[in-house]
Amino acid sequence: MGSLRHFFRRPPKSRKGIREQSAVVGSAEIAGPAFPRPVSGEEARAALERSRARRAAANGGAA
Amino acid sequence: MQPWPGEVLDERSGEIAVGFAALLTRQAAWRHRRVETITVLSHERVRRHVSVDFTVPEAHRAEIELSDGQCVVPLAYLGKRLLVNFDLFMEDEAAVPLLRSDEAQSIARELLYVMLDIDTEDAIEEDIGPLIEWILAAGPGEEDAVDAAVEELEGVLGPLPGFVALASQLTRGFLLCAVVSDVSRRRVLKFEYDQPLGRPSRTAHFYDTPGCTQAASYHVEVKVPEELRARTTELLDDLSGAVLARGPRDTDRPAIHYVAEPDVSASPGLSVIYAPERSRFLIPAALVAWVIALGLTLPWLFADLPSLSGAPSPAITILLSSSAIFSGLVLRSGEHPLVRVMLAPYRLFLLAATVAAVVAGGTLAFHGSATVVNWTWGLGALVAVLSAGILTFEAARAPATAEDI
Repeated sequence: MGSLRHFFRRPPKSRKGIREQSAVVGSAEIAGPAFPRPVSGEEARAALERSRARRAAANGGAA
Repeated sequence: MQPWPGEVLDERSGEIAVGFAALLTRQAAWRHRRVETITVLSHERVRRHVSVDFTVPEAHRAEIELSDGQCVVPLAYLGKRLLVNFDLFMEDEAAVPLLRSDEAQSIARELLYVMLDIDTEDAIEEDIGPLIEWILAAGPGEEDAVDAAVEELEGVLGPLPGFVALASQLTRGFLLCAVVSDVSRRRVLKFEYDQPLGRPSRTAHFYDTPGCTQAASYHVEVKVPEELRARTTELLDDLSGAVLARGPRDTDRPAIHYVAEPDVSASPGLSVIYAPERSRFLIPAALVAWVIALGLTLPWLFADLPSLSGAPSPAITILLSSSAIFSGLVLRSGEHPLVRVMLAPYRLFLLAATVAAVVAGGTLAFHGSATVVNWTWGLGALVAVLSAGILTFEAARAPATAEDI
């Protein structure tokens, strides 16, 4: 029956959901995170220092 | 001996994470171009070749340095599953070292802390540490539970957009990090791997392209097997059905260029519809089917078939000529597996016409009664005409070969 469907096939009216109708080849990759805004190096370094200070304090407190 | 990378990574992971935070939140600013080439190996497997053309901004080169001029460059996010035939090369095809997933995790850990601290300064280490370790160690099937825990954290601390986005992807994948010796100039790194098809298919393939938004410019092309053509090639968003870019019709090397919107929220993929070329198989097959159809129909209509019963000449002629032509078209070695699968139904129609001729010839050779001979030839003629008609119809709507265009 698959062959008969093939011979009488018509192009789909909409492409929506066409992935479900096709043989899908996934990607080993996944999409990158949708970050809300760019982060500067200075901003990231300041965040790292704050975070490390908090982690060091927590570890010290735990010890 | 150079202490690379295990001993150095612990010490450098924080600084590298600072560089990664700047690079990964503006990927299109330093990745100039990304090119994907999809080679169809069979109806069950494709090989994907990806090249990333980039220049690390001068401001971040020192941050991502591992040791002695060797830098860690984040190329992509890979899913947490087995990679088949994975290779990583530089411009001259020389192999490039890459961080193991557990090595990349030490950078990812710091990156999660950085993104969390950018979103909020209220996080408390004792509460966050186990969650971050869970994100990094999560395996397939744990995604929903980790997402729920992250959502719960967001409920406590308020909106954490950067952390949530990163945590979601690091739950499902890990950073592919290449170790490159010289990032002071523009570089091109390439990686490739095999991927199976979700289910075998003859005509319609859909290739996920999550990388199309990870560079300023995206280019994808498909190496179509010989004897086939890509009828249509479209880069589209499966969620909305919107066609993002369209490739040329009926080509053996369809290519699409796409400039991605950096904030697009979509499920992009490449939809390709394949079809066999007209002149390689379909036209010869249709001609053979018509020869058989005429060879059966004309005698059935105009000849006195029962009088030929027992005469070997016409029967043997039909048997031998049909078998020889049929064998030439059907038994071909070295054919691409997808071509073989795609031509299978057409070969069945040709087989039906040939069998009809053989059976009709057999009724004469074995002294069939007048009724049997007439019915066999009539039915055989009908089968052959139908087969020839279908093959002709398919040949007419099949794409032409390059030299025919």
